[in-house]
Amino acid sequence: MSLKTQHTRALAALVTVGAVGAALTGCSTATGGGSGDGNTLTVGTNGGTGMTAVIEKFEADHPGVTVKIQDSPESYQQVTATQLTGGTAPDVIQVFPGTGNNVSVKIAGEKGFFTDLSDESWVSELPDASVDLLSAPDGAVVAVPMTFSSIGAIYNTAALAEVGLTAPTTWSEVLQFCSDATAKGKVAYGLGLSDTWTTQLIPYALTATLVYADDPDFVDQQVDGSASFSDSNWKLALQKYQEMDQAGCFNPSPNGTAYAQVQEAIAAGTTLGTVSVAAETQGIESVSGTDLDLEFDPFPATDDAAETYLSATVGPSFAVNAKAKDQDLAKQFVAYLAEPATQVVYATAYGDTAALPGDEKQEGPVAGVVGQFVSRNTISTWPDQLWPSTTVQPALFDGVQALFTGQQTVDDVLQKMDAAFVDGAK
Amino acid sequence: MTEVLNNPATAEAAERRPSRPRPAKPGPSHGPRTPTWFVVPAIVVYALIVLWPNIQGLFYSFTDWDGLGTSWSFVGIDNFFDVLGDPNTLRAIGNTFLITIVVTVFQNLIGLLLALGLNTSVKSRYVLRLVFFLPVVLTPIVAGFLWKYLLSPTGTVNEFLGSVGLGWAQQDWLGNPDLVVYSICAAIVWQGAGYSMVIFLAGLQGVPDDVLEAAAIDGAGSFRRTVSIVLPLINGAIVINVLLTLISTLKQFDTVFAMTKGGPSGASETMATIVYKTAFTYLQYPTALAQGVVLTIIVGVIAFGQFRLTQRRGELS
Repeated sequence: MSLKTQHTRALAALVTVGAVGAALTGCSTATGGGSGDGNTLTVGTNGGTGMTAVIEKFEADHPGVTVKIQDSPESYQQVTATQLTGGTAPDVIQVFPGTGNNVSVKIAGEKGFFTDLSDESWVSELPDASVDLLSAPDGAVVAVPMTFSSIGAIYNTAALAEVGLTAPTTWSEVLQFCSDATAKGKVAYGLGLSDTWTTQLIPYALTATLVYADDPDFVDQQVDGSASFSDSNWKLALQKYQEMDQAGCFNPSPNGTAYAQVQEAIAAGTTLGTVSVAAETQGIESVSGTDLDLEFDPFPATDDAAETYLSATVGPSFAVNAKAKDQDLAKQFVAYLAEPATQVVYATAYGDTAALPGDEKQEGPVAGVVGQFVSRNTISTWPDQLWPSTTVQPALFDGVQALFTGQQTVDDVLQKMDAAFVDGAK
Repeated sequence: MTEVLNNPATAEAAERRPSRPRPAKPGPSHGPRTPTWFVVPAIVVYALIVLWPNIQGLFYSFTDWDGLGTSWSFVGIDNFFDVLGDPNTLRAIGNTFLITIVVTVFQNLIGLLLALGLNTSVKSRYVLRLVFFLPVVLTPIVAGFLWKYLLSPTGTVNEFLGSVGLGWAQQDWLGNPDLVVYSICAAIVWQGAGYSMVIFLAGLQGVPDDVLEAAAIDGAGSFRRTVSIVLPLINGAIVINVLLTLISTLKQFDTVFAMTKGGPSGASETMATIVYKTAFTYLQYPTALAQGVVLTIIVGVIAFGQFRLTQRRGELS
């Protein structure tokens, strides 16, 4: 082989490597933040339903500006955490309140990934219950909330009327409701524990009243060791869960049932309702394919309806990427998201209650109910948003499934949750 | 040996003996040589998207990296101690082996029976081969969701059992921790048996008809011909099938995740699903990486052991 040929081959190889490298580099930067150049704003969403409904007006109010949604509903946390680490995250990022995952306000906020928004005008409008959940550990508010997400009972109104039943407002009425529904050949509450996220819904709904209503600082007490799941009304909540099962409240074999089947059964009217997140009113309606009339109510845990607290917390929230090139444009967009009209449009499309509705009125089966509880401040935050470790929630998931298979007792489940909590708090 | 070499007749015979073909020398007389740098782009891409992430994964399994940011510190083999001391991981390893054994046995047995049945002159054999192969073209995740609905408490399987008077056999197939692993095995076997069947059919095509005819003339029945002639002659296909089934089942993820996500309460957790959960649900990335390394070692050791075993027997040749 001649020297010239060797050089030609070496050069060709070098060009090839360079071309591949350039292509890969191009891939990695083309999707990321920093694309905000005064004309384009990138927004990362975990399901873009609400955001899609509001960007058109922003673009109309800001001629020449384009808002690009980067939606990753199946793997949002993984994608966004990787982008944050690599410096390629969108300019505006959907974040999760409190702790809980790597794209949550406190965990990612502690590492300085978000811009401090404390001086923005809308911050003074934030409900008291939301401020801490939207603040980084240093106290800086870093995100604007779009909805209050709540957990309650969703009923098919027509199915209720068909069997002559009404939504229960006390615990005794819940058990009677189950008995009456069974007598009418209906399932009272659909339960699809095969999809593990649904395992937590009834415990959260019950502990909102039984634990966190009287003891909003319960998690802090757990952290300092003066309280535990095992020695609290969490035990009563899980016992009530079992009591519902024994009373025939649920469909047969909840562990083998998928949540989608519960949605279909409610839409068909063979199941009267379920305990779920309020946004599922949209999900069930979309499964039915028709204008299904659904009712959303708080889920009672005691025999005094006035004692019932709603399990509600800050829903989707948006932060500004600290590495966004056009900080002003990103802040303008977030301020736009905080406007009452934007909030109502977003929340209605999302199927939940606007977090900052101002004087705007929101229609739908959820907003009125949740609004009452928020205004009375009779809401309890979803506890997992305050838990110090991501392993506590899976311990609850596994535990509830094991309760239904008889593999674990209530005490077993709570001990495992305590162990996960203590381990995570270290 | 010296005697042999000194014997002119033997030496002449050795000269006449056909020698092992030698590799052709590169040069103008053997056509243009393919430039080796053609392979560089593939190597670069492979290195960037396969080798480098794997090396990084191995590296981070010895750290306490939190998956966010670039700070980390070495923790030695603590993550591996955590993995091997975790009862959930050990249960996942046990389930993985159980699923692997059950699927390997039944998928190959059913595949072999299908192949033997369809390697005949039955008129509809081509249609039947297609029908039995159809599940293979489904992606495992789709097959998993399909079976999730078929095996649900109110699903088709229980409805069918009820409609034919077998109501007593209705089960909570995916909700019963004692049954769930076998339900998953059934779904995997349903999807994979057609694949095994095709490999067995290819092996059966190589069995000489005259040998089978001679055995038949000698009075051997069909069972005897199958056991004494067919099976030894398709040993290569059996080995390949077993090897492929072992490896694919050891790293099984899609079907399990679609059907149960490892539940109820971890009863159907496998190594692959627990790696996913540890990383993306518990956010314990270094532990998940350590689990991944353990899974890789297990799959590697089994595959290598099987390969060496078959190589020694000369079966693959």
